[in-house]
Order: sequence, then structure tokens, then C-alpha cells
Amino acid sequence: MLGLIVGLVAAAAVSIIVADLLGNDEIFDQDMGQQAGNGRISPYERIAGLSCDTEAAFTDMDRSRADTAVREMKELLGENPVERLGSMNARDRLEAAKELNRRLRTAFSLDIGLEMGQSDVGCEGTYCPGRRVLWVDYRYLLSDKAEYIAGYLDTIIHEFRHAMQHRFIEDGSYNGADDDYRKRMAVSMHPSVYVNFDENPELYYNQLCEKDARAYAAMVLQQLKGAESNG
Amino acid sequence: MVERVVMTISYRRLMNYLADDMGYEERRAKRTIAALRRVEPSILKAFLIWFYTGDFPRESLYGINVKALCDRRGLDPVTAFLTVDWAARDPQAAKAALSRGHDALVFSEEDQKHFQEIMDRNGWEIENTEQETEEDKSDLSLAGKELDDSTAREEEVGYERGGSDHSDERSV
Repeated sequence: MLGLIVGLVAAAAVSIIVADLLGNDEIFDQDMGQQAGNGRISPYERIAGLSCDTEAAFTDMDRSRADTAVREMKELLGENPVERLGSMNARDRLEAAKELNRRLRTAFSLDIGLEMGQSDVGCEGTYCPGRRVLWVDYRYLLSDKAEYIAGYLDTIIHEFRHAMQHRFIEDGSYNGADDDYRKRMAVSMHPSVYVNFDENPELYYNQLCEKDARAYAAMVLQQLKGAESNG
Repeated sequence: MVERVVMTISYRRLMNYLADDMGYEERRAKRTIAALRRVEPSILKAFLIWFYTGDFPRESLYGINVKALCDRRGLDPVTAFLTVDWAARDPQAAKAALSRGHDALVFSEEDQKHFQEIMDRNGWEIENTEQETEEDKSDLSLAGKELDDSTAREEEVGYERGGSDHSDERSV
């Protein structure tokens, strides 16, 4: 099945985006995050299904696939993918994204589609288990800011990791995950348990399936950065 | 110094607001009320002021502009105030999480059945630990102190003001 890119009005209308997509300067004081916490206990202590206290865990097969993904990204985009994408025009970036998705599907042994669109509330990507499709906000790819382009790559790997989670809760032989971790992941991803960001950002952030996907993407991007440093 | 309750909201009124006005499911409404009981008092005060007047804090709260958080991250005000409490407890983690975008699992109609099939096939169950203790249905109250004899005053809850406040709702 070919990846499918939808949601664009016309290829000719696509251009590099200079907008501030996240509005962090509007939300946060400059020194926010530098203070000490107030020491109060989280009000969400007894929600077992989210497995907020479980650390992300990757198997040897997960790491091997991450290595393959890094190799594919380097082959396609060179030693500095963010810089390479930043040097491309919008149309070439979209073509590169399509090819990257194809290569990552091979690297992760997953047959999932790619769709693109826009979100005005900071949603950079989604994964739909039922349709086995990942969606990304293409404006981060087309941004003139390197941090947003890096964010796009992070989001792609993050969503692929959700697809991997879906795969290994269906079949543990996909990555050799142990049954306890599979169970915790299955519960964390269950539609009646999963917490969306707009429902509760703190629980969204700390639930196992999101913590795992974030850590996996960080691992891949760190390997990529390490390759950039050594290249 | 005498402690005196100056602001309060009944459990029933808040539950009705969350369920009827905000469309919260029961689980989310109960979880939200339980969390509001435990937030930093200054945040509870700001929440109650917003609830009764529609006014967001003019100054940032724990480094966050609450209105901007709602506007730029698509959060409703109740969730935004709970998020500020997260920032009060763990500023570094909250800043790291909120300063970047987020993602979502999007479920189709068949996914509930699909995931349940996975659970059943493996003999897994979802633990429901949140319902183990009896729910607290008392009022949410903010205790205040008299300032001094010359300036002491008692703030009335639910004073009328223009805008999308909730003071015109019948108290339960």
C-alpha cells in the first residue's frame, strides 16, 4: 500500500512557513520552568491503567529497528537531515517526507499510511490504530525554523512508535516484548483508558504509551544527532 | 486571626457544569473535581474567580498565561487551571511538555472492540483503581483569613458581572 499524502489544496500553493506555530512566548513567562516545584503530591496517584510509574522499555529488536531507521534517514537526507530538509523548497520537502515514510515502513516492518493536514492547537501528529494511518501537521516540515523541522522528524518516529506499540500488543513476537509490558501498553492504549492532551495534559504526558513513544523518538533523534556530530 | 471560608462551590453545581456545559464524561468529571480539591490554593482561587466572573488572571500564574494556554493549546479553562497546578508542582516537566506540540491516538468506531479482543485473547483486564474509595461530594472551599479590623471584609460568592460567568445559575 502506498503512502498517501492528502490535505493540501494544491502543490503549487505550498510554500515555506514562517509562522510561530506553538505560541510559546504568549503562554510562558521567560523564566518559567526554572523555579522549584511546590512539593505537593500529584492528584492522580491511583490511576493504574495509565501505568504512569512504568518506565519505557525497549527490546533488542526495537533498538535494531531504530538503528535501521537512522540508517534510512541518513541515506535519504545525509548526515544532517534537519539542515538538508531546511535547504529544500516546500515541494521537495514533501516528496522527501513521502519517501522517508516509505523507508520507515520498511525499517519498522509496518504497513501504515501517511496523511497530512493542519492543527491550530499544537497537535503535531496522530496515529489511528483502526485505519493504521499516521497523520502529521505538515507545517512543521515546511517551517523555516530548524527546531520545527526537527520536531517533524521526532513526530514521525513518535507516531511510528505508536504503530509499533499497536503491533506488539497484537503479537509479542514483533519485538519480543515481555507479557507484562505488553499488557500495560495494551491497557494504556485502550480507548476507554487513553487520555487525550486536551482532556488532561499531565496525564496525557505521563501515560505509558506516550512516555514510551516519546522516549523512542528521542533515542532515534539522539542517534541521528550523534551521526551528525560524527559526520 | 480568624479563618473564614470566603469562596466555595458546591459539588453538585460543579458536576452539573462539567457534565452539562463542558460535556465531560462521568469519569473525567469525577477525576477533575477530585484534582481540583488538591490544587494549590492560589490556583483554586483563580479558578473560582474565573468560574463566577469569567475573568482569567491578568498576571501569569506559575509562569503561565492561562488564557493563552487555552487559546494556543485548545484547552478548556478548567483543564488549563489543572495544568497550571502541574506547573506549580513540577515546573520543569510541565514546561518541557507544554512548550512542544502534542499528538493523539485517534480511535475509529471499531477500535473499542478491537482492543477488547486483544485484551480477551491474552486474558488481560483493566484495573479500575479510581473507584476503590468513596467519592468526596463535599463543597470545594477556599479558606481565607480576615485581614484586620479596619479592612476586614467578606467576599460574596457568585457576584454578578457581565461576560460568560456562571453566577446566574441556580445554586444547588
